[in-house]
This record gives sequence, C-alpha cells and structure tokens, in this order.
Amino acid sequence: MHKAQDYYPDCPEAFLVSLARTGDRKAFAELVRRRQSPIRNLMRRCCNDYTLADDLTQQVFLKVWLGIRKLRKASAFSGWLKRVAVSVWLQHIRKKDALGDAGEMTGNELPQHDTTGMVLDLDRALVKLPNTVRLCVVLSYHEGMSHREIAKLIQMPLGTVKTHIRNGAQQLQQLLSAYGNPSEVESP
Amino acid sequence: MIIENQDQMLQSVFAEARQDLDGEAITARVMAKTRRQLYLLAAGVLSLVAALLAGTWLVFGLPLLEFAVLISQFLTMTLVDLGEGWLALVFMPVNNIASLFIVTAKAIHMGWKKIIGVSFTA
Repeated sequence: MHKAQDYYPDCPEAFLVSLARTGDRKAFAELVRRRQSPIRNLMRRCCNDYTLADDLTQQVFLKVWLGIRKLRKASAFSGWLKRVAVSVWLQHIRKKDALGDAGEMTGNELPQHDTTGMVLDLDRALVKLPNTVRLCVVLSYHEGMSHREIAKLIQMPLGTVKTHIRNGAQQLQQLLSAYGNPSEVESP
Repeated sequence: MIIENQDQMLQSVFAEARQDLDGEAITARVMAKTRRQLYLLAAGVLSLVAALLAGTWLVFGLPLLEFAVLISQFLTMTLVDLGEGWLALVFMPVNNIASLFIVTAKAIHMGWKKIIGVSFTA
C-alpha cells in the first residue's frame, strides 16, 4: 500500500509548502530536494568555496524550516527562499567583517569537483569583485533579478546597485574576455 | 529573460555555470539538523515546564501545605467535650465542625428542594 508521502515528488510546490507549514517534515524534505540546487549555485557564485556554499545552504533551509509557519502565502515561497538565502549570505559577510576578515576572498577556496574550466574561471573572476558588487552582479546575472528588485532585497539605493552591476560587469568582461571570442577559448 | 542592459557574453557564461546538483546528501544533512532542532526545542520546553513546576512548588508549596493543615485542624475540632471514654469514640465521626458543616449544607439543600417543590405544586 502506498503512503501519501510516496506521492510528494509529483506534488505541486505550493501544496508541499502548505504541508510543510503544518510541520510535515517529509514535505519539507521534498522542498529541500527540489530547491537545493539553485540555492547552492547561488552560494557557490557568491563565495567560491563549495564547502562553505553547502554550509550556508544548510543554514538557509534551517531558517526556512524555522520560519515557514509564518509564511502567509504558499505561492510566495520562491521569493521568500531567495530573500532568506541573500540574508544568510549578508550575515556571513558581516560576520567576516566583524572578525576582521573582511578582505575580499583570495581565490584559494577553489572548487574541488564537478567543475568545468568555465565555471572555475567565472568563480575566480567573481572572487576578484568586492562583496557587495559580487552580490549585485550574481543576483542580476545568475538570478535574473531586476535592478529594482535587487535594491529592495539588499536595501541599497537603486543608483548604487546600478553602478555596482555596471562596474562589476565591466570587470568580469575583462577577466572573461576569452569567452567573448570563441577562438580564444581553450578547448576542454 | 531580458534584464536591464545585460551583457550577452556574461549572461551565457552565468547560464552555463548553473549546474544541476544532486540533492540527496544535502537534503539528509538539512533534515538531520531540523531533527536536532526539534529535539532541542522539546528539551527546552521540558526544562521550562520542570523549572516552572519547581518554582511554583517553592513559592506556593509550603504555604499551601500549612493552610491545608490549619483547615484540617479547624474542621476536626470537637463540638461537645465528651472526654476520652467510649462515648467520645462513638460520636467522634459526627462530633466535629466538619460534620456540622455537612449537616447544615444537607439541611439547606433539603429546605431549598422543599421550597422549589412547593412553588411547583402551587
């Protein structure tokens, strides 16, 4: 006999969110399974340290589990999850600042596995950007968010966000110029 | 998806960098953490309840006990002094303030029922 939980992989997300809000751990596990990949990708772009990215992703989902009962609309889950992820990242940066370890990442935290040369190059280039600039660029290019959405999310003036994205993109273009010209790209 | 003046090359690099990551291990770790959180919460609630009970007992326990002793001493006071002979032993269950209260309450109850009964028959 099938249990209700056996059907969770086929359930719509809003339904799973509603179940998770009532404390259904199996439904929440299914949500984590579905949403972990985008959050881990976001964290990887932000910190260039895959172990740290996974730790931060776990923190994100733990916060989501603790706060999901307060989520009013199940349909708002996606945006809320992104907000939690960004706030966890910002907290991490602030903690590093407080510890006097605010210096930009060195690039030593290199990805260990499952990476193509292009991903490595992108992450190395991103590491060279200041934290806030990197976050703005990642939210714009990786998450596809508008400048206004980013400004609202990270509580920064719209003009500053635009400047960060413009400057960050220019730096990335220089660092990744090989990818703009296919003849210069190294074959794998 | 077209976002404000995005560079096409960067867009394609970011799109290609997006990997579909296997989620079983991280899901297991997250769920283990939520379970630990649940145990911590349960332990916290139990500790709080135990502390509240202990605090309540410390504050109200002894005064309540003293009050109960005083009440029981008052209720077992004899109505008529019959000495210490067999007569005192025979009448001991009814020769106290508690039995007086009970008899009075019973009388009031019966009187009340009589009055109600009379009013209905009238």
